[in-house]
Amino acid sequence: MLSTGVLASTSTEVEEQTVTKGALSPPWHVIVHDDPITLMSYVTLALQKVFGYSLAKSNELMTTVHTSGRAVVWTGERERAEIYVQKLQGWQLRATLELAPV
Amino acid sequence: MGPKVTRNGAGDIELSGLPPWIVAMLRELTDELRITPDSDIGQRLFPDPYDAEEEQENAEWRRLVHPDLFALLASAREILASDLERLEIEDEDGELVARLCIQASHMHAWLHALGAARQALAAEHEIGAEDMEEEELEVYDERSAALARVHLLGWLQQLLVECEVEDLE
Repeated sequence: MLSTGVLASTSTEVEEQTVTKGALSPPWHVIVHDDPITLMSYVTLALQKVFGYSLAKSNELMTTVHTSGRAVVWTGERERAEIYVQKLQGWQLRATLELAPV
Repeated sequence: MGPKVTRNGAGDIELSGLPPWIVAMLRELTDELRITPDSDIGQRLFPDPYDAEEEQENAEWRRLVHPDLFALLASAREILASDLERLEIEDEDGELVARLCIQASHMHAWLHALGAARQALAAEHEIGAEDMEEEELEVYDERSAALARVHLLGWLQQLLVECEVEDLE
């Protein structure tokens, strides 16, 4: 039977080896901006379709877009953020990218 | 009697009882949706995703992504045009009305096209938030007619959104 000390040492090594590539590159925000023409229900639907968010979460984000003028709808690595922006613009949402604060 | 909306088991939508003026408005969409990347409307529909200072990133975006976005819009326009060609005109109690069928697989194209058309009208006629909140609409010039169209296209878009939401539930 292995001692606790060896097990602890082994698990620490495993944890150190699992640093992901994502942790090395800074995260980016995907932002949706308000516009007076787009239907609110359409924004909600677009968020559900693009991100797979629940109706409740999509509605919450849409409300933030509408009341605050913009909302961060996703945060993560840059390449994926760009893909999301492209998809959102395909739904005519005003979507942009911002480097997330560290 | 106003327009009627029904759905079949396959999720296709049928809009019946459409008056001629709605049909005429929809048919104008196919011309209005000929939007090019270098137009003001094109730039409004698909704005640069990075800050204005990031010129290189935005230029790369326009080079790599815009062709796909504009191709998507062109495809939506073609689907719209094709569905409108199959529109049926019928006599309902002495009045000519139209029946339009939108297949479930065409729903996204219609949503896309209607959204783009609304944005295009708003951009061309400088329609903003205050205009959209007007409760009484009087159509007496080109701009107020455009605002009426933005609302009517929004009505149709809302119908399709509700159908899509039903499917997600």
